[in-house]
Amino acid sequence: MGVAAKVSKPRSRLLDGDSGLARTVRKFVEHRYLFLLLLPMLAYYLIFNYAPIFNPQTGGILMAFKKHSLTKPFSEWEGVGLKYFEMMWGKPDFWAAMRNTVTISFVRLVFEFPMPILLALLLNEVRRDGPKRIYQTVFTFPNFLSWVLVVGLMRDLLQVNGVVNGIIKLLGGTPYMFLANGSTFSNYAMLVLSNLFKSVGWGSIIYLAAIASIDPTLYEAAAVDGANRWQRVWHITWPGIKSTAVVLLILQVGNILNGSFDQIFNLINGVNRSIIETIDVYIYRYAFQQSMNQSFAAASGLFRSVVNFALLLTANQIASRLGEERLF
Amino acid sequence: MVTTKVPAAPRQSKTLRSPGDRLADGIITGILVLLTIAVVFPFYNMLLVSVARYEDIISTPLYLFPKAIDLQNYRMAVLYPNFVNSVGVSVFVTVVGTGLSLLVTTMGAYALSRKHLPYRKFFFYFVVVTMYFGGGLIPWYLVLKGLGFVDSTWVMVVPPLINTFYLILMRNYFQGIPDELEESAKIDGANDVQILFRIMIPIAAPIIATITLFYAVARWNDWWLAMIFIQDPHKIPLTLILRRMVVDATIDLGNDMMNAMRDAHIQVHSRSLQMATVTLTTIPILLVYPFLQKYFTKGIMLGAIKA
Repeated sequence: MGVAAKVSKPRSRLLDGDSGLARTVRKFVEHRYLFLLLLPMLAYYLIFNYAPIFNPQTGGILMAFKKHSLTKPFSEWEGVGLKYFEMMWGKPDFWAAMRNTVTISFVRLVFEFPMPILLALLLNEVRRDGPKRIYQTVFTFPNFLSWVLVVGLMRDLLQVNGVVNGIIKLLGGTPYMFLANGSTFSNYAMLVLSNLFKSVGWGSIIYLAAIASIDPTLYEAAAVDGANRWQRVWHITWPGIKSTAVVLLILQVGNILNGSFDQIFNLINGVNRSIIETIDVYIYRYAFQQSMNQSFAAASGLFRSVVNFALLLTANQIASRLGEERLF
Repeated sequence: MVTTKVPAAPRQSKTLRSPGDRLADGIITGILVLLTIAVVFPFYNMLLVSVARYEDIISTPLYLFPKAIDLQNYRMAVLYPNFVNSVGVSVFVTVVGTGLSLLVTTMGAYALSRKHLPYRKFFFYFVVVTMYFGGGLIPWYLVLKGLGFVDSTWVMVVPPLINTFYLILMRNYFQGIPDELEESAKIDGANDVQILFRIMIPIAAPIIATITLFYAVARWNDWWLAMIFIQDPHKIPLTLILRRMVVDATIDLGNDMMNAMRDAHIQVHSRSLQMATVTLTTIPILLVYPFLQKYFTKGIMLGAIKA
């Protein structure tokens, strides 16, 4: 690559012995077209990702340590030290949201995480390509709908006069408010089932790809050795996707504080708030809906970011230590 | 386990299938068919309710099969205040947003993929760090407010311009393209911009198609940005109208529509109105889905494996 660049700009630079700065400038000039391509992207990240951290006008993340004022510029905001963090620490609803976030993530690990694997194993056992493609088409589609649409579908099915309660009534039961009740079990079940409906098919794709890369001669050898179907799944297919599963599991543990905002925000209401409100929804509530205490919301947000950062970094380190292919 | 190479035997030939095997096939098919019904049924119910007559919904405790097909609910959905406007907003955001996203993402991804880019590692980490750490909701909101995004349609286009995950997928794809192509073009005197647009983009068509569709679906589905930033009812996208109708369950027909319905003796069940709107919002996604499906598996795998 460097060779190609020199061909197009055949000036000898190496022998000039110029200063570091001049060399840097020359590098930029030489690759000006490449930087032209890079520029919009850099501007984007500076404005939308770095400015919120370091913004000199509103203090960026430093506003968590100052008393927010709508009338005065940031430089005149009163420094309050860790006041908002102490406030957060003392709030029962903050801890409830933290507990909900971790509990729901754990429930998802147990009941959602294995499902794409099982589905991939099932689909892999379908011999004919036609039905297999139909199943995959159907299972993957809901992934591309927004949570607003999915919750819309759920609301109609589960409302008092909907199909599900219609069947319950027909069987002599009383209608159940599936989406507005204080039962922990029912709320968790709704979260898990709706998320499976939306994304189990999509999640199985990566496992199907891993299965596709298994050496087919292994199956042939096993067949010759008289291995039955279950033995082939257990001794060939499963080992072939195990490493993928382990990496995804670790990454999901790292994401434990990402409280699936879109899903929960569209399902939350006054009745189930204390059960399913996660930290993301909590921060949103304090930022835009309740009391508008922006410094407090910024402090909770910063706390979440820092913990989340540590978790993600750890998870990614472990995943790479396992010698698996990663995206980065 | 013995894995000695043996002459290829067909993996599952018909003659080898035992009765137990066939039973297993039956069970597998059974499970998959049940799952298919579970996934399809909500959509069936959506269509069913969207074409149901008011009196049928009221009088039937378990409405499972259509008694009549009445498209009036769709007419009412289209007449819903700001519906037409919101479709315009959603189309604008989807078309312009996807176009700009694609342009900026492709350019950035290509530049990052070049080995001769000075400070390449630095720029890469500059991008990747944002996946791990951010300023949080409020500092981010204040930056956007300061830039005048409140009540601007562009808030749905510019702030979500780049998805870092897609950017990296695309960079990985560009990295996998053999260097010789670029080198010979350089000898012919082409610069990096020309090389990207004339040579690389056609080669990267599969990944670009994949990411186009992802961006388009994400823009069409977005409601969150509009919810936070948009007050002006004329600038609200379709998904947000739908959210207010379905999730907040606030159905505000507006005086004009109420009067028109009363004069024409039209009764529309709120469920039917909701489901008609849900259907109309789903249709565009359903239309691009075959293309999505054709590309996503291939595209995602191509991008990810070559890391």
